[in-house]
Amino acid sequence: MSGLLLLAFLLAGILGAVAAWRVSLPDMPALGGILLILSTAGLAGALIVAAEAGGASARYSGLAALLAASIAFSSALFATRRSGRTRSGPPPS
Amino acid sequence: MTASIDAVSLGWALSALLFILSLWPLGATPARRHRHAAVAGVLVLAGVTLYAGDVVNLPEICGTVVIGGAIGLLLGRDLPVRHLPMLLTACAGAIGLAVIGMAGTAWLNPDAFGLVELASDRLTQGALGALAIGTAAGAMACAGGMAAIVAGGRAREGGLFLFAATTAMAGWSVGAAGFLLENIGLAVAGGLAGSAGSVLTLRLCRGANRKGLADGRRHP
Repeated sequence: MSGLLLLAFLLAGILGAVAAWRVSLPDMPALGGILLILSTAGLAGALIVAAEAGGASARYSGLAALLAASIAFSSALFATRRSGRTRSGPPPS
Repeated sequence: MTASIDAVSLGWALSALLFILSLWPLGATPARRHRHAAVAGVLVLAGVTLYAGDVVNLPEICGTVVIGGAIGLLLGRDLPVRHLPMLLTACAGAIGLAVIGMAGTAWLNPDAFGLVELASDRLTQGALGALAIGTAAGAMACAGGMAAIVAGGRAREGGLFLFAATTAMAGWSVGAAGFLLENIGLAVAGGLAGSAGSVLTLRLCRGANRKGLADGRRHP
């Protein structure tokens, strides 16, 4: 499991580096928005710790992590959408 | 048991595929589709997590997700456009904060996540390393988010640089959380976001007529 995890992580790292190296300058803000949404995958980790933690303090810590992750996920979703619209400008009439 | 493992592996593979598709070369397809692929990957990963995990307190979890989603909806839709860069950087900081919370939970209750050596009743070295890296990267992302909030809409210089650096740190912290929880989807998403964000940050610093990281506040 650890070997597969490490392999997947390394491959993902190489792929991400290549993608960021090849992106053109005007597309950099769009790529940043996508990377932010990818980072919000931390929501799944917060779900794991909130679901499986026992004990009061650990449980509240997990729920706090889940709250921060869900705020980040939904606000990143809507903010990147609005930001993309602002960059592309109004549609031609 | 076998069917459960197969479904979880399939879900992880699907989410990893969607994450990779979201970084497929930009320009050929609209950025909107890339965003949708990334969101779908996150939702698949969250669904697989809920399916595979041993959920003890489902009502509390649902309540927390709904409250967090509502707050994020308000922030994302109603904040003025000039504050959007600040909000995006603060979102990356919130991810760092979430990873710090995850690390705290694992530290407080390591038995629940299988992080304890049976012989010595102490944390395993791998878990300690993942905890340290995740906490450090999460704290740096948190600091970046705080810097963006403090600067507010005033400082436009270096906004993209700060955003890229904060997102990179958030990505590395998510990758460390993937190692801590042994979750392939988290590791793939964290690896993609961390490395791509780091390369993006370096490219922003090394643009024309720049001197490296010390010159990061200028526009690209």
